[in-house]
Amino acid sequence: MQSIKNALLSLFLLALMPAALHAEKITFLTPSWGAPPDKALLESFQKESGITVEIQSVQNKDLFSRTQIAAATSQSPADVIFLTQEAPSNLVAIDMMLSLNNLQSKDPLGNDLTGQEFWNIGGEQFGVPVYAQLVMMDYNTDRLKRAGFNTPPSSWSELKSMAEKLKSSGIDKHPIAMKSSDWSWYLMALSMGDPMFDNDFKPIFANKGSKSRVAMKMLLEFFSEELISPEIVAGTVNQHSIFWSGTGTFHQGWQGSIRIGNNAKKSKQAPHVAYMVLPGVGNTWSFPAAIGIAKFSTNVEASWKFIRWYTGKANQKSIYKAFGLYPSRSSVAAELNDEGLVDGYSQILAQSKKVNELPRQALWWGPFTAKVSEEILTAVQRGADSDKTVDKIAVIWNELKSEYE
Amino acid sequence: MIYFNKSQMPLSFNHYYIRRIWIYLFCAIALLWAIGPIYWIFVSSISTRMELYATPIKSWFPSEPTWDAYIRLFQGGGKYRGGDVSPTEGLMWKSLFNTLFVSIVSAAFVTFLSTNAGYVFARMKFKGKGVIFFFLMLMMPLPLWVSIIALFFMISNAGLIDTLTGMILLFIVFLLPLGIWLMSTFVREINPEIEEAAIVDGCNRWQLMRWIIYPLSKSGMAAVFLVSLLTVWNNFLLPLIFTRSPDSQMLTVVLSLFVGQYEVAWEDMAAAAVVTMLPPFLIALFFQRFLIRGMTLGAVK
Amino acid sequence: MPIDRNRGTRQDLVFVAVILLPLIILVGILIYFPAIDSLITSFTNENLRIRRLPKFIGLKNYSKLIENSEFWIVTARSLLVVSLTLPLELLISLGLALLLTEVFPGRAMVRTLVLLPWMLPPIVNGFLWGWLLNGEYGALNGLLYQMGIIDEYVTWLRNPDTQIIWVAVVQTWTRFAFPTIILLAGLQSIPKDLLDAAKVDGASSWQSFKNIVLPLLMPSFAVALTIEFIAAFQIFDVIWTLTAGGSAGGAINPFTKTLMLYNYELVFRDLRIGLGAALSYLILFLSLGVAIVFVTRLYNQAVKS
Repeated sequence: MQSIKNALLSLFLLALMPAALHAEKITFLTPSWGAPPDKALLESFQKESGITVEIQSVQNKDLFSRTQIAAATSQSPADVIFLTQEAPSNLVAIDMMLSLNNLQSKDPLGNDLTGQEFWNIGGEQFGVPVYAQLVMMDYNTDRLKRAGFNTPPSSWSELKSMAEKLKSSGIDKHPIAMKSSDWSWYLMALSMGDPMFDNDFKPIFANKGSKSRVAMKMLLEFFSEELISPEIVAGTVNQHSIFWSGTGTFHQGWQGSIRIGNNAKKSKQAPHVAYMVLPGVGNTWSFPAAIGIAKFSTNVEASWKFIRWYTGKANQKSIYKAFGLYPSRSSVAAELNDEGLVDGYSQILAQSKKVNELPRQALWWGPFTAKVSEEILTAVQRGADSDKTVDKIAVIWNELKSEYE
Repeated sequence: MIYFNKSQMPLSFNHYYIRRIWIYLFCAIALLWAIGPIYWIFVSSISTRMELYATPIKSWFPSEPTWDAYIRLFQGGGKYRGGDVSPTEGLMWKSLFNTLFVSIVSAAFVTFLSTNAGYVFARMKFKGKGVIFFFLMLMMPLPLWVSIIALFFMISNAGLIDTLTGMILLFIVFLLPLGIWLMSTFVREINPEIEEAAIVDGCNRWQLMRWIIYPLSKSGMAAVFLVSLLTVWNNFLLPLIFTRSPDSQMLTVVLSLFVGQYEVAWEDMAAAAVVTMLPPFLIALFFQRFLIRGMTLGAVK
Repeated sequence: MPIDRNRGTRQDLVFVAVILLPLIILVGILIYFPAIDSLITSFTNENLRIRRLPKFIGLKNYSKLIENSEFWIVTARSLLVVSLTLPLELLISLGLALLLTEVFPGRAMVRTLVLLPWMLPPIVNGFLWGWLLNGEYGALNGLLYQMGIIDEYVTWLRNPDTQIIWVAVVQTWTRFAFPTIILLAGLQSIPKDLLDAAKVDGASSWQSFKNIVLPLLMPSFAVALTIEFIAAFQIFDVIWTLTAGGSAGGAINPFTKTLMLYNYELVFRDLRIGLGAALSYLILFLSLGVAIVFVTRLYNQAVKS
């Protein structure tokens, strides 16, 4: 009697198993702005494919910590991981991501995906681009007009004199909203026309008389003349909060920032904010994001299906509508523009022709760029000489380079 | 216990009331210090962003209070242009439960285990006592993330990642040294004559614990419980690394989700903070009432 | 009835073993084992970004740290934070504990309310003070302005010197509930009859405080002092969110870098795990050194009396 019961029980369990196997589960580790915003869309994907997607949201820096600790023990924190622009240095470098070359050749995702080169490191494709963002600047047109300027500045010295006029005429006490950190310097140096690094990862920003040196000097002057609010140096807020709280006329933003800038519920600058193509040569750099598969994942096929859906038209559109993140598929971008949903399209287009990338693929980029921020902050606090600061930064680059190569 | 009275009976009603006034004055100052910023959190949670940006005159209660932030918190709220999707949809309730469960269970275990161990170290003599005590205390100041890689390795091999059990186990181990140290301090203050009388009467150690030590160290145990509970409640690193999904995710990690790409959703975070502070507040209030009632009944003779 | 001494001690030993053995095993496995593993790591040159097998390099990590002036600057800064925070915190918590042992209606509620700062999650705490101390739209500025104390908004955190002071204030505010709880419990376990006897003998309140309360409070005070020292010495959250914040992370404010921030930099940003582990052990030795001094001098002294 007992043996019959056992047999029946095992048969019963066996019958259950295929059903359990059908419901595959994958985990997706992402910062909050990478989580698919349209729940209904996600539900339909899960139903159609039979794959359950568990979304694990954390802050960006925590994402790195979690992944790094897992990597140290040869494990994956999740199946699919959202990759931000620091990911090459923080995740790919520690051998955490799977090469997608095989999957791409077997099951390609379409050729309207822009920005794939960024995620191609050493011939291996580690991520599928999700969105592309340029670092852009926007400004308050009304304030500029009140100071007597009808068009945005075409050079950085012009920007500086405009800012000084804004300050002296009392319209804006701290007209420039930029941070005392790495990005401000990159922005100014690149848009002044200095490529900063050459193809061999050599720091040509340190060359004598380079535009980067001019940029650093001007940046430090912005702080010493208090054209930038001292609150930025205090370190509790970033340039975006300062700008949207009403202080600042020129703002280092991003592709999509005027949507928040002109939102009366979130920004005191509304509705006067518009993009400006960067002054000078006008080059900027992009900070793309991608989605990839973790190295030790056991659900590679299912993960790829999810990636296909995630970078598909429907999800890309919903991401744009929820977060303002510009889709990586050029067809989707065109459609959104046709629907009139892209604010400031012409400036975005104009700016997108002037891009000069930074070498984020260098393994040591993460520590380097953090140290650049520290050097700039130190220079601002201590009133250090801009040339010496640039020299120091070059030393840091070379030291890290030799350590990692 | 009244320390600054010159005698048990007030000399006069005036004296009594003057004392009361001083007490209330100091209480007001203490509360201003402690609660002032918390009030700002509450105000933030019911204000709109524009009100928070108002300068230079601030209104100390928003002119248009709104419960939107709280609604968004638990519902995942509106998705509208400008990058505002509530990241905590579906997570708040679960992480509230998880955090409550883990903190209460861990605190209970720690209190029980450290009272026992505290008694052992306070009262008993045996070989190697100092060494064992030192062994248990030595690693207390070790920064947590030193051990975290190897710990992660062990816990994941034991299959305890992303489980409530795993979290409880970890917290118990990390809270024990402090708990043991505290309880050994408190147990030492108990009058040893009571214990000796009990032993002479034929009590064994277990009975001694149950009938004498536990009742007499109530305030110490409450302190250890509260301290352990709050330490778990506020801990960020352990839940970050050892939990992944709503199965065991805890409040501190969920709160970090409000840090967006460009800005912090402060109103939402403030609402979440108010909700987060409520359970420990109620638990602590319960304990305080319980303790005070216990004290007025006097010491057990 | 004659007491069987042998049975007593054997039973006692069983009692001790049953209680202590599980704890020893638990601590041994979950604390010591990983700690020893990272101690070994501290003797290697492991770096997660550089894919090579970690090589044993002996004490080179330690000497590298100690020879670098940054370690000493950072340690001095940590000690500065401690010297600012500890007295403030302990004074406030002692005062509060004494206040809250008084009997008055609403005592339970007040006692619980003052614990609220500790119930606030650390991440919220940082942003809270960022909002309060903001130089453009902060509440503190608003309050002082409305009260007429200042004419213009002040950027409180602009200077590195004031940053450290505010860090001490915020750390105090965050943590004062912990020593308050400990000291309250300590005060409550002082037997009432001792104080009554002193009063009968004609002692003044100050005398009974000095001669009875303070010595009996010493053990709890020593615990509170040691724990708060470690918390202030190993401060992290408050400094991170108050001075190195804004949304995008990664960069650490070099003017408020304390030991744990330096440690975070080495372990999580630079991914130099070997060096980071060595620093962690240096931090451990420093913390232990001071903790042992506190414990031996205050605690054992109190136990003796």
